[in-house]
Amino acid sequence: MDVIHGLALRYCVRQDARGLIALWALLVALTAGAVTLLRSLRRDIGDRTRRRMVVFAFAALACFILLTVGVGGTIFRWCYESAAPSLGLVAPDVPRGIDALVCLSPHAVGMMSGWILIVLACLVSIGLLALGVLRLRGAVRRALAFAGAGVALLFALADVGLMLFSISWCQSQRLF
Amino acid sequence: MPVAATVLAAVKLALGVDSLSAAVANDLASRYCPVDRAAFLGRLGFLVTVCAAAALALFMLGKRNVRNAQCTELVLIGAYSIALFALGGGALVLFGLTGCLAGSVAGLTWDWPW
Repeated sequence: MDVIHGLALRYCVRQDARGLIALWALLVALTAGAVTLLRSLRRDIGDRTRRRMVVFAFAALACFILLTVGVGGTIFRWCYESAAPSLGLVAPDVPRGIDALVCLSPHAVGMMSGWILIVLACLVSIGLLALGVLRLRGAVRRALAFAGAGVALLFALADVGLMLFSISWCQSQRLF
Repeated sequence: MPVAATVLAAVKLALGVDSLSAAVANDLASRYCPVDRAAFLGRLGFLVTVCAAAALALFMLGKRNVRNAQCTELVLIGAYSIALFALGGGALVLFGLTGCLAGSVAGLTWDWPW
């Protein structure tokens, strides 16, 4: 790695430090949850519904782990690729769509926080769903749990929409 | 009374950790290297120590509570998670500051005091 890219790497670690540490905490927590569920799956779970719910939650956590790594890597790459040109350094390889990258880079921490909110909302939704299916008795209580799960899921979807809008805003040709 | 004192001490510790972690994050995200290196490393060291103490406490609790295997497992996973978070976070912070130890590089226009 040459000097400019080494500097860009450290610059981005520092600029996005808050978001990266929060994402790392999320990743560790998701991994701990997935390990816990995996170990409980290995034990004998007699109830078929309970087993299905645990498998579903484990699959969701595994998906979130992969997506968190992907989202974190992508957001970090926006900063890394645009760091040298945006700070006036002459980099040998200017990436394609540098304007969009420079536009996106200052919002990296906000986007990481947005992603954490999305994951937490989805986890709340799964938790309420599991609570309604496995624990709660009575139609009203179950309906409330499922309604709460739906609201949390809608919140997550709205957050995904906002995130995609801000990405497409920066990629819009009309801006530049 | 001991419960109230413990809760108060826990709240004070949480507030202290929160303000310390905010100070470390501000210093790290700043364009410049930390002015007072000893203060920065002291804060970072305190945060890592708090995480290590929490992980150690959970680990001891998990080892002592051998009756309920499931509960022990949960506590141990929590201990390993806190230790992993502290290691990764500390490594990230230290990597971000590695440039502060080097001399200035000719031709680079970033205004970090390398």
